[in-house]
Amino acid sequence: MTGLATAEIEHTYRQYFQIVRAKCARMLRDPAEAQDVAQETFARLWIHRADIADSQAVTAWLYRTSTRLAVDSYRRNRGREPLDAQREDAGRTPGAADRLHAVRLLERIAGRAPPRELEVAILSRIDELTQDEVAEVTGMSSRTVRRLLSRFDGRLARWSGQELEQREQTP
Amino acid sequence: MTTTRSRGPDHHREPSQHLRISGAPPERGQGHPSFLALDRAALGSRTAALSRHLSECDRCRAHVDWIAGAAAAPEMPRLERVAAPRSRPLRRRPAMRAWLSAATAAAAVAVAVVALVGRGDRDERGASRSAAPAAGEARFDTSKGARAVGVYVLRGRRTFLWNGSEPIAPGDTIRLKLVPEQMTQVHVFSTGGAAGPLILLHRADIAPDRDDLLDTAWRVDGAGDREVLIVVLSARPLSPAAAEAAARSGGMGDDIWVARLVLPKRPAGDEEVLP
Repeated sequence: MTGLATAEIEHTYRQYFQIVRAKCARMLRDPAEAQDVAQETFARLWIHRADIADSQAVTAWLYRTSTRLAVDSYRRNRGREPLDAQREDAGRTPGAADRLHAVRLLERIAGRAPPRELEVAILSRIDELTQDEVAEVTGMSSRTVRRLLSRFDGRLARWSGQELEQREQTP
Repeated sequence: MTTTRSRGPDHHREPSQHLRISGAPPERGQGHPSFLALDRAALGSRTAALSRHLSECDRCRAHVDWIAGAAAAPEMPRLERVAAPRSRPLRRRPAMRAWLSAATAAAAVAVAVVALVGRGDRDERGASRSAAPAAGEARFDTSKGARAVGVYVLRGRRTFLWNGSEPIAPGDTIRLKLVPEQMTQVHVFSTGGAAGPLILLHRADIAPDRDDLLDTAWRVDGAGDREVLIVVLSARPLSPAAAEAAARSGGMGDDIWVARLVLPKRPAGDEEVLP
């Protein structure tokens, strides 16, 4: 058998890991979980790297894979105790705090939305990709992306309405 | 160590321009590029319009500079060393969960993997494993809490976990994932036959409390009808000679664990449907 050079792995790591780590930090509010997902994403990149020839394709692949892992994390942690909000918010800039709020909403609705909807919602609303970029990353058509985002918005609106009703009914 | 990390500059808007979870992303109307576009810019891919934007937008430029600067850092930690210490000691990391879940599911459908365990190994309760020999020399087990070795196989455009009997093929790339369970060092040997010389393929220190995807992989050549890998995990540093002796004897104790993996090999050009 022929060994693959560790230097090659190191190079790939140096080039892309920071991008993955930053994206995971945007998507996940638990820093340790974000770090885990980033590492898992990179491990999968390593496994698949023979399929990926250029940086455009690599970045699309990284976004897609890390997003799907984050969706898994949201759905897995549905019943988890909320983290200490003050600790989560500590040190965050206003923009990051807004994203954190969005992540919390995504986590709460994760059990009600199909993974594909969550995937495009993260890419669009957290990573702020255009619909064409979401289509490129996910491999869906732009039309499908639009439809999924529309469904997600409707689902979120209904869920928000139900939450509001419950609060009003609570003495 | 705290769980707070440097995230680089925040690439976002003024407080009054809050991110919305529903509806069109707010940045589109503000003319800011996406994080994807900024990350690609950090890798050197940018249009004239994006370059112009970066020259005018401090926050976007700061994100690009931060990503690019971090990528050029002289010392990056090894893949398996980048994980922060667990904030909750008893919680398994997702990678581990994914691994074990994959193994369980795979066992159920008899196509995926595997954890391959050494001969004569016993679980934590001392019970003998109901291991089914595969390829004549390895035993298999998917129970949690045990030391294990999994084999990732990259073939063409697909990656799968070796099921313990599926022939590998010339051109495949294989990589090992370990569940060390308190072992701190790994040696990987290869041998062409029972009496052949052992070749040390890999030696590394490993974290005792988490799974470890080795940062070395091997491409399968067309020689022979099988590949034999011997994985030696130890709870103390071993010299290569001592590790080789353990690999040859297969002897195990509290501080040494040996797994012998025999991967049958298809002849070159013998196409087969993937599992």
